[in-house]
Amino acid sequence: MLPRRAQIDEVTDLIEKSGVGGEVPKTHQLDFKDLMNFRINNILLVSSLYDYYTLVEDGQLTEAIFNEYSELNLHYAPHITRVNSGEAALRLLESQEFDLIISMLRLGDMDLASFCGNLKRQHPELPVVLLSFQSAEFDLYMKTADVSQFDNVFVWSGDRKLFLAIIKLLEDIRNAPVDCLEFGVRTILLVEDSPWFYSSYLPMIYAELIKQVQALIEEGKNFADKLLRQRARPKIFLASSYEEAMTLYRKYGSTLLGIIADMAFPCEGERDDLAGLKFSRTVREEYPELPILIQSSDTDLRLQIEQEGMTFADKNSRMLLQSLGDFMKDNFGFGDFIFRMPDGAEVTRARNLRELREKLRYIPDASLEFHAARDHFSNWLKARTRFELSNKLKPVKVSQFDSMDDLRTYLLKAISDHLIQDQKGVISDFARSEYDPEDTFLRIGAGSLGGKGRGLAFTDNLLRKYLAPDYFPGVRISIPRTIVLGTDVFAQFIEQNDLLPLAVQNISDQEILRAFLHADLPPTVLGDIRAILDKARFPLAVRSSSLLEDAMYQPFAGIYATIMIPNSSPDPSVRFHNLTQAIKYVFASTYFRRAKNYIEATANRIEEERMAVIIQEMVGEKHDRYFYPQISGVARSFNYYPFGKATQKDGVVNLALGLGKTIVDGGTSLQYSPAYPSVYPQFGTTRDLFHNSQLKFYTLDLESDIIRKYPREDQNLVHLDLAAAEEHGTLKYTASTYFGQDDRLYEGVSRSGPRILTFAPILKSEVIPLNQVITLLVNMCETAVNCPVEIEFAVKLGPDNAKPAEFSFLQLRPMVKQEGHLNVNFDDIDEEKILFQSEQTLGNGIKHIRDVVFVKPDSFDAMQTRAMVREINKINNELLSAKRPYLLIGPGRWGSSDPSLGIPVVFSDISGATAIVETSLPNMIIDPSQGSHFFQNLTSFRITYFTLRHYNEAHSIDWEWLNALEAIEETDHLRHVVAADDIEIIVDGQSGHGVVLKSNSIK
Amino acid sequence: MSGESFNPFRMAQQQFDGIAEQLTLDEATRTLLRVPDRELHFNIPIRMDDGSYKVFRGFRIQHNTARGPAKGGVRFHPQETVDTVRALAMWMTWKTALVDLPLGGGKGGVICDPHNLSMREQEALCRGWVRRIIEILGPESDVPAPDVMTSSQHMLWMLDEYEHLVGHRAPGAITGKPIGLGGSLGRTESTGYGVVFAVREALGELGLRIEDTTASVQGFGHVAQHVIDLLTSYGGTVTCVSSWDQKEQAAFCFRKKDGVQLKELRTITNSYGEISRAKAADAGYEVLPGDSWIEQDVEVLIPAALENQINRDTVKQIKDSVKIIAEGANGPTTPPADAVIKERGIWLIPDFLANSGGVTCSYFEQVQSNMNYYWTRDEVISKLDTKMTEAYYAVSQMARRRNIPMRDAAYMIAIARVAEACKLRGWV
Repeated sequence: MLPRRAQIDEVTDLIEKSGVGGEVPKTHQLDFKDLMNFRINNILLVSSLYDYYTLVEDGQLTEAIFNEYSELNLHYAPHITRVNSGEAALRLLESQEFDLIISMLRLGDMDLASFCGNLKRQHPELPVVLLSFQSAEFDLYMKTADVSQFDNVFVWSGDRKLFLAIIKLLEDIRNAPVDCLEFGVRTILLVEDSPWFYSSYLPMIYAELIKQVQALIEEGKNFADKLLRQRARPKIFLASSYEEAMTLYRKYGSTLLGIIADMAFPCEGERDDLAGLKFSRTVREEYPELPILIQSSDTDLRLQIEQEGMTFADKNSRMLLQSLGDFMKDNFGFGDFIFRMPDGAEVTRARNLRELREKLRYIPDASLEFHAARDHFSNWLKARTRFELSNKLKPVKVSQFDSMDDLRTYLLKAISDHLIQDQKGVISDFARSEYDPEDTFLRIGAGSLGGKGRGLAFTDNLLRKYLAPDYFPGVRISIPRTIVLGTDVFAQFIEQNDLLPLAVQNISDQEILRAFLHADLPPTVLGDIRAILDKARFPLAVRSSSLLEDAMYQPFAGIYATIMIPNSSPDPSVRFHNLTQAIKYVFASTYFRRAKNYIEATANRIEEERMAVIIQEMVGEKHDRYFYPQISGVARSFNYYPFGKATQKDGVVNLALGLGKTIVDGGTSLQYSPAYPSVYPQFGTTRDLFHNSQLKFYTLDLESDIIRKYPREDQNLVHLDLAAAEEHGTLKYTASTYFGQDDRLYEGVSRSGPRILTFAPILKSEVIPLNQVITLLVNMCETAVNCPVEIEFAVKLGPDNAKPAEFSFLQLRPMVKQEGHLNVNFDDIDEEKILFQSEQTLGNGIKHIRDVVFVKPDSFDAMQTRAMVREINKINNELLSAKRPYLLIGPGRWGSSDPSLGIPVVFSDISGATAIVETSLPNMIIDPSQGSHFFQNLTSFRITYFTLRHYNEAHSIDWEWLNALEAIEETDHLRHVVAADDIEIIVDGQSGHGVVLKSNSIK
Repeated sequence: MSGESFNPFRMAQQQFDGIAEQLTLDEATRTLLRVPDRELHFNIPIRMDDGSYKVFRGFRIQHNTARGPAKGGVRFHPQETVDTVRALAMWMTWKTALVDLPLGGGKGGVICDPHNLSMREQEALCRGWVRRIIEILGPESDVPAPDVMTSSQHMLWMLDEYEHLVGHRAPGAITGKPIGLGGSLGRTESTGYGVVFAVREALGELGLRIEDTTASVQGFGHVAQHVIDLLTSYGGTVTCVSSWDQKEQAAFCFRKKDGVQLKELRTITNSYGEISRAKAADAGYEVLPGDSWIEQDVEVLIPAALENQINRDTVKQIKDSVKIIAEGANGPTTPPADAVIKERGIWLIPDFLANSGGVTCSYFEQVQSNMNYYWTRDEVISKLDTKMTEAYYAVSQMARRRNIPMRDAAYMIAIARVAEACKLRGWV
């Protein structure tokens, strides 16, 4: 949960200073902590022992109240302290704090007026109520004494619920200015001057109110939401005179749900037998449809009152309380929304907002008009704490619409938008009967959401609170619809299938996968998964979200599986099978070799790992049989290798056409600094254009939704050429065209010629403000997380000049900052001792190693890089087991998925290395891909990374010295040597200068 | 057992009559549906191991087949009566109709005590049973399944005999077969899981969290064990179970207030579901009288053993804490007890809804067998969950809308469907 109010200003400040986009919303999603800030927790009861025992026969008043609160599922109950005299009360108040004083009529030591006077003088804000038994003494007191000093006067009739009513009434009036005027909580005004009457039906009214609200509470998305609904229940005000009623009306009139008024009560100091009617007519001038009930013992008034459109209740009737209850239920928006025709005939009912939406589609025009014209929808929504939607609908008039169809369409859209917005920033528990594929973030099963899941939930919350949907005109920012299986599902799966003993063994990934695929998922989730697939008919990404990923400095990037499934088969059994298999695959990847290696390199144990699974809507569009976004990207707020004028803090962005796999696997993508979106260092020369630009892109094959015996992680992905993108029309805003005659690039694809993915129409011509969006989001996240961050995203461009575009936030990861400054003067180092050095080094500090593994430079063959992976993996595992960190040297981009760019290792293949050297070759000059999972893991494990350029003499390696070291192992492509003494690695993180020093002697 | 004289068929007819009245069924339909369509009573003479011959009495009763082939179990029980079997057949008709399966209702039995029979003698009984009623059996007419004291082995013997007599393989002729020989994955747990799916939905409607729920279960057979398994998986706690002790000829309860441990109990239970009292006591369970399960301070009661367990005497022992009764067994609640339960506002999920998971999975097995293609367990359980949830909601909606007990609502839906089928076929 984000910090509240004042504490969130740093993000608001950031956004406002950015000067882009619209206004930051001033209000944020209503939270239960906003409401009912005044609570009565401690009550001082001033009564004789005898009166006290009369109140509660067995003397257990606190317990009695507690029971009342428990029955109503209220989570606290106030405590009552009794003293037997006014003096004792005043004395106690000097040392203890109370929220309410309840005084009985007989104080013994002082008269009530003196007691109350003293009290108010010393504690002016403390509410005091008089509680008495119905007696002649009380009647006399009421006739002769001035009771105005008391906040209220009540009569005890034996109902313990009266205590609840007293407490609630006083809390309500205290909380009203904030809850009602600021947040729109609704109110009910009770006008009654007889303490006997209102003492008997206030408890009923409150109990009825809370009972009605119980149903709304059950609609709560989660516990916090349920608490919100409890606290946002309508407030009740009590007025005992015309003037009091008018004061309350003038202040809270716009929040009223309805009025329950006696007919006769004081007006201008005198009892007015028609005061109730007079007051009601005044109200009706402004609010002609407001429900009003007038009660009177004079039944002759019934006709007149009903003719004026109000409800009459006979005060003498034995069914009076029942009538009040029915009136509240029928008129205050509690219970079902009852659709009626103008003649009152019931058409149908809706239990909740979703049902209201469904029924709205079909109700007759006459019924629609009847309710719309009378603000019934708005009132009902308000009673159900749907304040935003209610306020949106309230000012809308039927006359604004050309037809009932237009009105119906407007209402349906308003409700749908509200339901979507309502879900944002909230993790709701999946409920099959309520499931709507538009729901943003749902959880199935208990346990943690895992690192990725939590990051997504956090981001969703962040977006909801700080960015209005139209903050960037033409660009909608959101997270894709997501359902998370909590880690308990994984735990149950492992336990019920007894998989752990097998999974932790040193066996092949295939064996593990086979065992997991044949195992059964917990029965607690199967029905829910089927229910999801019944309604969700879009491609899905099934992604890992592990518990250990939660830790700030362990990003686990690319360690576990992600499976993308088309979810397109007409056979629901096939779709079900493929989704469940994908989930099991992700579970299995928890124990794959790369995961085990990775975890071994941390302080954790594989048995500790738990896996949540994210089932997420894929972002993109269908093009023939392929599905992909036009843009995917990774943006980092810190750039380890800034170029040109850009600084490290300007960050760096990688963009690609198609699925983001291109970037995270270290393939070729466009890289630029957000501070200079028109500068592309990788396109320095014409040759660079063709050599350094993305030529192929990943898509999901929608026709691959078949059952496979041996599933693979990338089984549904297809790698296409740009020519396919051209056919699909997805190059329009992402590519430029090279015109050989001018040796120039032209934005777009209107000319014929080779296409280069420059994203110039977006970055230079800004058909959509993508760079601004990225910059702001990255900065927002960095501010919120308080450290550099990396975000993954995908963008779907719209049909009308790229609008409306949908920017989907896919992942948020904190970055490990390579901090520090080493106080070393590199100029003082004897050059003879230098094995190699570079001013393009990532890392900081001093390390010592003895083992060096290097790719033999003389026999390096770029066609054999895959074979090199196997050799490196073997040596790495040996050294990892022996706990011997090593230095790894090789050409090209380490970790690139493209074997022609470098050796396509994954992190677990080199996880034992403490430093890696990337050398370039004449035909292999590759910059590190900062957007890749490999790079992310390198930095998080603080693996020192040297970049050596072959054309820079200062970067040369003393191969002769290296080759003279004792060889432990020599393979076709590698050599593993060991020094007799430590080889020292020294890096200054601030300057980026690093040097590796030879050890003292050669074995 | 209480002293109340109990005739299950009369009870079933009483229930039917009440609903037929509410549905205003015509006389002919009532007459048709309140008695079974067809009954076969027969002798099964078998040669015992000691060389002697003994004649056992068996029956197969088809209550109604308007919606599809008769479906129902075959039970071996020494106290079996034809009225019990009639009632069970009728309930099967309603059960299959309620869950909207294309099946009718039937039941069969043999009066015998398998505890006193060797495996060879039991096999002979099974084969003899099939031989005596071969004319009415078959995937398209009558599909038996296991029941009290019959198992997948019994079903396989019966299937083998059937296939031998018809001259070809017919895996869809009998359900409850072993896995790998035509059985469906998920079958064993389906009845118990079905009960929990219904309880889950009911708890949701009452605004209760399953994780905060405690339950007491009567019985420790397949149904009860899988109820405990799934309820615990959802986070609920089962504090008390009961089981029959054959030697003592009495039932006992085993209680652990922080929750029984299924794995632990299974290690001290025999194949008939009898928990060892001594070992249970050693393991820290309180051993209580057999009827104690009903007086536990829990939110959910699940009778999952035999009929007539909640009656006018035992119903008084139900605590105020109980919010839901889910009938895992058939006919565990008598009509007088029903009335008390209704008055107390306890939400009762009737047997033929709560325990219809078994017949649903039987139906899945039929489908798979007839196609000769078998689903994964995940597929079976997910489909079971969906079917049970849909059936629950249909009944619950009707019950709430009409403000009638769930049993009545369930009967109304089921009987109306069967009556309509009879009418459409032109029978009445």
